Amino acid sequence: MTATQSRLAALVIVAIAVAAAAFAYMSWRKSQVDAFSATAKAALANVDLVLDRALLTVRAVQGYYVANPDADEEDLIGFVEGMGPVSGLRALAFYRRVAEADRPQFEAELLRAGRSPIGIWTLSEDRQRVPAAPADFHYPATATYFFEGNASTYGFDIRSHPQRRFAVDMAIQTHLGTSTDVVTFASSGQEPVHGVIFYKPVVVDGEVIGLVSGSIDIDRLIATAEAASSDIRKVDIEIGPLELRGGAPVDTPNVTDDSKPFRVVDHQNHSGRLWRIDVSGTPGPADYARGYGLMTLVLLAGLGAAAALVGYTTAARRGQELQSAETRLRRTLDGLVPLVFMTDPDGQVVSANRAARESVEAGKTDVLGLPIDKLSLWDEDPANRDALQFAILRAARGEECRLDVLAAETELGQAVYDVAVRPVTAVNGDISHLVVSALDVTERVEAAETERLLMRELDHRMKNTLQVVQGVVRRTARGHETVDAFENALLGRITTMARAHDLLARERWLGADLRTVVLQELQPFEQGQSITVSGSPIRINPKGALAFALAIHELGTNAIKYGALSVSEGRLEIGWEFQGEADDRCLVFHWKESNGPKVAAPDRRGFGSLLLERSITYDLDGTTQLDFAPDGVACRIEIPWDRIRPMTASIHFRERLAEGAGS
Amino acid sequence: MSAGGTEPGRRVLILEDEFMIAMEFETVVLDAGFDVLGPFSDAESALATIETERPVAAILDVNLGHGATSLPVAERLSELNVPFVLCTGYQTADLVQRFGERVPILQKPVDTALLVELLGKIASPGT
Repeated sequence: MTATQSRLAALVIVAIAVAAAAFAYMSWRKSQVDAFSATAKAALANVDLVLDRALLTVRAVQGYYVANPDADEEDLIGFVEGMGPVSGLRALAFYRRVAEADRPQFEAELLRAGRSPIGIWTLSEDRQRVPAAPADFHYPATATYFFEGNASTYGFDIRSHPQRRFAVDMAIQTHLGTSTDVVTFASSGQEPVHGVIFYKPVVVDGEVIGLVSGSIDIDRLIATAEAASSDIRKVDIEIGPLELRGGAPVDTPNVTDDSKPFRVVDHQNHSGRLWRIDVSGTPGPADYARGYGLMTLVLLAGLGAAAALVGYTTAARRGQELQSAETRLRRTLDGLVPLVFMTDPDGQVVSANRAARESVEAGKTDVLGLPIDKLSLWDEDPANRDALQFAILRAARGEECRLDVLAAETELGQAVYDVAVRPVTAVNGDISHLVVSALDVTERVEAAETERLLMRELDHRMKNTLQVVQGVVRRTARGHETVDAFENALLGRITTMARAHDLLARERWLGADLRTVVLQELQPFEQGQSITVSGSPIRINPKGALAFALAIHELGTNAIKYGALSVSEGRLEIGWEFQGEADDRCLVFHWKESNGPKVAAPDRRGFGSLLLERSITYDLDGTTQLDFAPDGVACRIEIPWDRIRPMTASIHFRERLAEGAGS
Repeated sequence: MSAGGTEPGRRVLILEDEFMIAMEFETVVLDAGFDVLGPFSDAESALATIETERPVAAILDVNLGHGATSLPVAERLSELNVPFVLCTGYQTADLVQRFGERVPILQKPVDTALLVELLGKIASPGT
């Protein structure tokens, strides 16, 4: 999973979490809203039911009066109580139509019955009963039935009251049921009671003889609705203006609006007026806590999951990146030809690339944790190791160091490394570790050393040679009585040296092949005799080559004068081999003549013998055994390999180290 | 190995790694009437000999091969106030730079007449 994918996934999870939380909240809220809506509708149904029953009762009474226009209050009470239990109404009343002309007779009867001492009355603004003002017709109450309380309104002229007159007139004119707005009931005591009054005209033979009214305590109705559920906070009832449009049915199907949460508005038509019943509420704090708790829980869980995913994938990604970076670096380092070590500031190896690991004892030893200057990789020469250690110390102080370090000798030779030691600085500025890289520059060093050596050797050799010639001349002169003999001996020796020089020059003074040296020096003496040269091809240094050239020249000179090479059937066997182990081994060279004239030991040792015997010993720490055996001269030369092994860059490097250490 | 007619005990140390040259120096020194101490091809054997047999002078080849030089011998001889002549094929050897102002230096090939003259000077009694 890539970082982008991870982030995307995290975003998706966050989005899902938010959505889930939102969904949880919405679900909870919707369930709450739905529950409330149901509760509100139940409450509204109750209101509806109350109103329906009330209106049904009013209609029933309307019908009763139509059938019994002369019914009195006792008749009404009997009828209502005969209907069985009805609810919702505060009171029922019948108002009989009385013309102004009939008012005195009517009021007289009221007075006689003790119903109203002031006759037909109305309510003043300060709610006092006052005689109704004269009008064409009056509608005084002649029968009342109180479902609650018992306050007589006998003689109360409803048409005389301004809040009621319009509804009453409309009912009279249209013969339809009407209702008032919210009014204060005439039956109220000191505490005004508000409500709505429904009127139904009582029409007999086309004439309105009176009105039936039913009153509803609106506060009680609201209280009843509000009491339906604790979730209902408030119920508002607004009652619209009286609209009696073309005799349309006054009661229309309910239209309920619950589009707003926790609010249900119900529109009902009752007796010409639109009732807008607004039921609003909220879930309790406990419910909110539950809702928000659920939402928060879901949200947190989602965020947690997202954070965990991001954290995990980021960490995993970073881990992968680090790992892949490290892997890349490791592979890169492993692919490098130079040896690369990582060490701590003290020079202890922390890691090493493949080349480095393989170079250290062919991977047998774990290099980790070892001081780098103590690795078996390096030549044990203290000067060599000290130089490296010194470089480490300097690098640990912040310097970049570069030096040539000699590697330990292996079967493949001895390498020279160009070693760079560089400090690596941590973020805080401290040197956290060192990078030690080592590039095999043996060839480069060899080339440079060859150049240097060539010049030095030539200079040295030329002067030494002249010195040697000087000596040869002096000694040769002493050993030879005749000028001819002197000349021959001298020329032979000088020619030998010249040939050896020629060979060495061709080899850039790095050394010469022993077999080539031998064959070259034998060439002047060869006259068809059987000469065998056996020995593995080995290279020896210039000094060794010159020594062997002179030795073979002296031996050959002697052999051609007195030995096997003086006769055609003479035989000569030459060979060499190594004896001993490793660094202590010696090159053993042997010269064996046979089939020659009988040999007699010379009575006097000449310069040649002296040269042969002593020069090898003196120059090369070797030994020479010259045996004048009767059946042929034999010579055995043994030289420590260390003294004649060919010049290599590493040896010169070692010399340079020694010079550097000595200065 | 004293030649006849020479002053006994007047020995000249020869330190030269190349046999042929050592032999020539030996011849020259003997011909000049000195005895020869050595010749030695390496500094170690020369140093060992100095401690038991004190020469009157020395001929030192500067470079003894394999990076070795006559330096330890030259230093020891200086301490012992034994005069010496340096012979070298190199121009820039460290030893030459170090002793060059106080010690005669002969370039190879050595002029043997000059060598004998120098030996006579530095090895003369009382100097």
